[in-house]
Parts: sequence; C-alpha cells; structure tokens
Amino acid sequence: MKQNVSTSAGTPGIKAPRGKAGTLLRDIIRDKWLYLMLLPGVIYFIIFKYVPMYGVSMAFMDYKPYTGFLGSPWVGLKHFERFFSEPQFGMLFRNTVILAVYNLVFFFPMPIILSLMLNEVRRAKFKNFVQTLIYIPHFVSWVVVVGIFYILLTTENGVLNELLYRITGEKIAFLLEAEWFRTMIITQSIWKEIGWGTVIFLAALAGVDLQQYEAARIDGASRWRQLWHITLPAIRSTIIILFILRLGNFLDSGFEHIFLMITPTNREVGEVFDTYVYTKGMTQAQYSYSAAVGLFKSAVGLVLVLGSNWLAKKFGEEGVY
Amino acid sequence: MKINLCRGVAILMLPALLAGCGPVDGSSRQSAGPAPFRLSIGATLIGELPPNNNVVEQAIEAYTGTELQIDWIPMSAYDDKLRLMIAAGELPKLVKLGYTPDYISTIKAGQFWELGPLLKDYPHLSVLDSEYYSNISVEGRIYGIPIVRDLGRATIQYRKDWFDKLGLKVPVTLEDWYTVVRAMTLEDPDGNGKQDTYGMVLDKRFNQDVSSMLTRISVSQGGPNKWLVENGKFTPEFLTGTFYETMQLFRRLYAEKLINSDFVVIDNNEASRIYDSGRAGIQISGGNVQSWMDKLIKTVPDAKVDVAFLAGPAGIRLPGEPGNAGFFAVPKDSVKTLEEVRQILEFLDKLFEPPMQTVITRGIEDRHWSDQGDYAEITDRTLDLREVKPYRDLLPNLAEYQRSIKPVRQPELYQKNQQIGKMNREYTVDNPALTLESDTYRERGKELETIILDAQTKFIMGMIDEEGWRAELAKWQAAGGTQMCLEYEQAYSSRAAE
Repeated sequence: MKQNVSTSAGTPGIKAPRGKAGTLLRDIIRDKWLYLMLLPGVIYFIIFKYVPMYGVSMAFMDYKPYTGFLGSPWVGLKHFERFFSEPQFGMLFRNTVILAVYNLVFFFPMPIILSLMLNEVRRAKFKNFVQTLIYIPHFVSWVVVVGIFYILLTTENGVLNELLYRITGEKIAFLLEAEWFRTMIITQSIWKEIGWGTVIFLAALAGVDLQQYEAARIDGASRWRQLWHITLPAIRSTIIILFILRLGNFLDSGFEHIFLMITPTNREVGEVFDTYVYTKGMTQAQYSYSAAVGLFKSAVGLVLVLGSNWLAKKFGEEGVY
Repeated sequence: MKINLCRGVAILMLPALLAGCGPVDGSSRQSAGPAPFRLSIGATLIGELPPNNNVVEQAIEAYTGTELQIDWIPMSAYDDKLRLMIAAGELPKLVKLGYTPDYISTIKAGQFWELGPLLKDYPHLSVLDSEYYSNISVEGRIYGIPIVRDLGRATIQYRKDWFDKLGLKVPVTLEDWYTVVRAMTLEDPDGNGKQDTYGMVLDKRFNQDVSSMLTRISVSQGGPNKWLVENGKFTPEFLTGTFYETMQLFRRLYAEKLINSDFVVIDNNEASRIYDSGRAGIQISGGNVQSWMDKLIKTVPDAKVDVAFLAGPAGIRLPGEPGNAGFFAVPKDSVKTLEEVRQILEFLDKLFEPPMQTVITRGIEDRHWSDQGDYAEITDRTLDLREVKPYRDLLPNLAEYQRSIKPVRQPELYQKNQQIGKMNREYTVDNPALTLESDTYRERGKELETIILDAQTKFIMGMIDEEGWRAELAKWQAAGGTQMCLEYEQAYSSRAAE
C-alpha cells in the first residue's frame, strides 16, 4: 500500500487509502469532470479498437463469409502451421525484417537530425517557412509519390535517367532492378515522412530550458558541446518512446507503398507480409489464413514493444508506460 | 448534476448508436403509389459517373417497373470492394461477378442463388446460346446471367500509313512480327527525322489473362489457348515449343531495344497514350480499332489505321474468350425469397426485349440518337458517353449480335472490325480448362501464375536464360503445377464420361 502511494505521484492528496476499490470510487467521485473528459477516448477505444478484436478469432477458424463467425468451424492452429511451413515463409520473413531494419537504421534517425538542424536556425520566419514546406509531402498519397519517382527514374525519358545517360552513357533501371528496390523504398519513405516526423522532436526541443544553454555558453561550451550535453539528453526520452512505439509496427512495411513498387523483376525482394496478406485475403478470399498471418505480425510487434520497454526501464529510462 | 451527466453520456454515445443502426440499403424510405420493385445493383464503372437519375435510368425503371439503385464502383476498385462486401455479407440484390477462383468458391459455399432451373420461364434468358452459360457454370450449375461479349475478339490493329510507307505487310510468322516491329522502330515511319517511335508497346499486363499478348501470338502460330489437351493429358501453354518461340521473339525485340524498356512498370493507360499519340505502330487488341483511330487523328490528322485477322502460317487462329464481361448473380444475403429471385430474373429478362436493348445500347430517341429510316444516327457523342455508355457496359446487350434494333451507321473501319469479330468465332481455339475444377488452382492458382508470369518477364528482359527458365518451370511444377495438371485431367475425363 505504501508503495502504491509513493509511485502514484501523479495523484496528489491521497492519504492512507483504505482499499483499492474504495480509493478508486472516491477518486472518480472527486475528479468526475476529469473522468468525464476521459470518457470519449475510452469509448472510442472500446468501440473501434477492442470490439473489432473479436475478428481475430477468425485466425483460428475456417471462416466462410456465408456461415459467419458462429457457423464456421474451429480449426485451432491449422493456419499458423500452414504459414510457417509455407515455402515462401523464409523469403517473406527475410524481406520484411530487412526492410524493417533498414527503416530503423536509415529512416528513424532522419527526422531527429533534421529537427536538430532546424533547431539551430535562428531566424524564426525562415524556420517556420521550412517547417511548413517539409510537412507537405506527408499529405501526398503514395500513388502520387510513386508516380513522381516513375517520371524521374523511368528508362523511357525519365528525367534523372536522361541526365545519367548524358554523363555516364548508361541508364539504370532503378524501378526494375531487385538490388535497387530497398533503396528506393527507404528513399521514398524519407522523402515523404521526414518533415512530418520532426513535429514531435521539435516540440520536445522547444521545451529545453534556455538557461542551460546560457550557462553552457558562459562556461565556454561550443555549439557541438551544447548539442551533445544539453539538447540530446533533453530529448532522449522522447527518442526512446518513439523508438519503442516504432518497434510496435516493426513488421508493418506500408502495404500501399510496397504494393505500388513491386514488379515481376523485384518481387523476390519486395514481397512482404503485408502484400502476402493482401494477395491471400483479398484476392483469394482466404480470410482465416490471412488473419493468421496478420496476427503473427502483431504478436511480433507486441513482443518487441514489451521487450524494448523492459530494456528501456532497465537502463533507467521512462519507457512507454 | 446527475441529469447533466446522463445527457453528456447520451451525446457521447450518439455517434456510436447512429453507426450501429444505419440501414444498409435505406429501405425505410417508401415511395407513394403502387410501390415499384426496389432493386440495388453493384455495378462496375468504366469512365465517368452518369448523372443521378438520368433519362436512361428512368426509361429502364419505367419499362421494367423497378426502382433502381445502382452502386457505381470504379472498375479498378470493384473486385476489392465486392470481396469485402461478400466477407461482410452486406450485398446489393444483384452483383456483377467474374469467373475467378475466389468468386467460384463463394458460389460453391452457397452464397448465391442457383438460377439454372428457373431460366426456362424467361423467354429471352432461355434462348441465349448455351456456350455463354456453360462458360460461367460452376460444377455444371448456372448461377448467373452472363454479360455477353464476343467469343473471339483479338484482331491485329496497325498503322496503315506506316505500313504503306515502309512497304510492310501484316505479319504472319514470328519472323514477320520481328521485321514489322523492327522497321517501325528504326526506320522513322513518322518521318520527323527522330528515332522516337516503337513498333510495339507493351504494358505490365502484357502476359495476363485472356488478353495476354504471348498467348495471342502463340495461338496464332499454332499453340494452345492456355492449356493443351492431348490424349487426356494437360500441358500448360508455357511448356509448349510454340510459346517458347513466342517468348524468344519478345526477348529479341527487348534486347535490340525495339519495344519499350519500361513495360514492366507502365500500365495500360500509359501504353494506350503512346499508341494514341502516334508513336507506336501495331497491337493486338480486343477493342474496336475505330476508337484508336478517333483518338489518333487528333494528334496525327492524316494517320490511317487498319484492322486484320490474327493469323499464322496455318491460317486464322485466335484464342477463344469466355464470351462475357462477368455475370450477374443474386446473393442470398440480400435476397431471401425465391419470389424475389424471380422478380430479379424478370427484370433481367425484360432488358433483352428490343425496346430495352435500344435504350441500353443507344439511349433515348431524339436525345442520344435519331431515326434515319433504315439506320440510327448518334446525335451527340458526348451525351452518349455520359449517359448511355455506363449502362451499355454494365447491362447485357446483344444489339451488335442480333439485329433486333436499328443499326447505327458507323464508319467503315468500325464495321470492318465488327465483321472480323463476328467471323472470328469460326477460328477460335478454346481454353479446355476454362470451366474445369481444380482445388490447387483455387487454393494457390494465383501464386503459381505469378511464378510463371514473373519468369516470362525476366526471360524477355534477358535476366534469366533458358536454363533459368527451366528452373522456374521446375519451381512451378513443384509448387503445385503438376498437381494442378492432374486435377484438370481428372476433371476432364470425368466430364467426358458424363
């Protein structure tokens, strides 16, 4: 009980509670307006996130739309067994994980670097202008992004390829060659999302106490020193939280994006779980099987979040919860 | 205080309640008078959305005594959306399906009404050529009304002016194809001094489905249409020599840069644009050549286009097509009684009556067309595209096959293409596996197909050689291809025994 009080520092004014239930009830009565404000969010999550979860049971059935959830037979882990013994499983797993790792290594740090750079801009007007400008790609749909890259990179009068041809006398089939696929995907992701990704980091950077910089300057710290000893530690917890949340979507490769970029010639590196679920579920109506694949993906994400959160706490960071 | 809180909760819950009770087809609305039969249709849309409650729809409603509620879904999104509707069990009363494994398996699961036994009561539905029905039958039973199309549509369409200028003739052998494509790529047929034309342009669907370029050329050279049956043995087209030679033709064209290098990534629209702007010379198409001509003369006023039979050394040969652009089926989810099924069939039957056929194909007299004695003349092509075409594409129409309505006077080229289309029927090579059952095909047909289609593309692009191609074939066989052949053979022999 004592521990309970000491950890719940967020709810001040509680003195020696008698029982858990009693405390909760009293809390609710006292803070009813706060709880009322919480209600819409809770209802939203129940209706749109928890209720639909009964659909997960599909992964353990032979679901047929006509017979529905009640009439379809239960088959246990059949679909999971099929998935893991599928000859394609190795390829799908490898492609998905490689893309996910690339995303973490190349894409994740980009918004941080960009926001650090923006933070150093001293002219507020210019900074705001750039900020607005780099948000724009986020609102462009993948179809358009892929279309733009097609126009730039196609071997038939593509702008960049024509340029390349003038300089080197050769063209590169960026959109066709399997070895270019991952580079293209990551580049496009960075182009589209880097600006949007800076939002949270810039907010965190705005919260850094200016007095610390002042003190550092008086002590003679250079810009780099200030960055290293003040700015980065200040946003470290934000970075870690976003990193953990990112791990939750580790195996999400971004279906639409990949789907648009896959061609017969790069399929062996491009096919990922997301596209596989689409082919199986949507085009071949194997709902239960694709639900099982999707569930597997989510399970991996959950394990990664729990694991990394545990690790973060172990190293004295705050973690997500 | 308490009252306030209740009210607050009620307001917060409101959207949820609304979402929960929304009726699927808004059937709570009732019109006054003798209520017409309300019929909701899931429809594909090619092109522009027709105006709400337009005259064509009104005419159909008045004649058939229905109140139509057509849910127009763009062609490209239709299958995805329909599959979701099927999965959710929320369907319109009449939907358009394609003859593909996933729809066939939902039909087999009993989600649609069997219509076969009822057809005899409907004079127009029952007289349709039985081939149209057998091509959409599932386990020998009929679940739909076909949206009829020609059974053999492929024709060679080419730039006559370029051919004349370069002294070319319509290709017959594979070598001819090479010569023609090469000449039109390298010999500057448009005479602008630049090498900016292609003999032929492919798009990323070049080897898919019935309109596969490889199948069409291979059939013309004596190959099978998708499957070869010999003494009850099934062999896929890509294991035949003719098909391999056809692939080699394209490999050579690609290597010598005589076709577009980006065909893997461009879609059909992009390829059409190249043809329409006068930068490519020959294609095999199922559409009418007149539409190419119409678009082409906007950029190249003195262009000339012609159409010819698809023929090889053994004469005219072309792949037979299913003869439908899908079929209408009645879902049990939304139509509960047999009586209602009959009402729907009656509606479809009425569509085949001459006055309705006229409306579906031509529109309303004096608005879309005018009577010129022995032929009809389209008065306003824009209005025709906007108000009539969606219905012409969607609803069954036999106008071009039966002379039940007044013919439109069309340009000579259009008629020539149509004439060829009609005669084509004599020369079609059928796909023997079209209506055969195979569990492997249903379960993993798509994956197997992908293996082969990808391998074909890679072979043409020179990414794999003959050895690599053989390896892909072995992969196909191991992944279920051999099994699929066996299943087709069984289904074939048991059907022959019947």
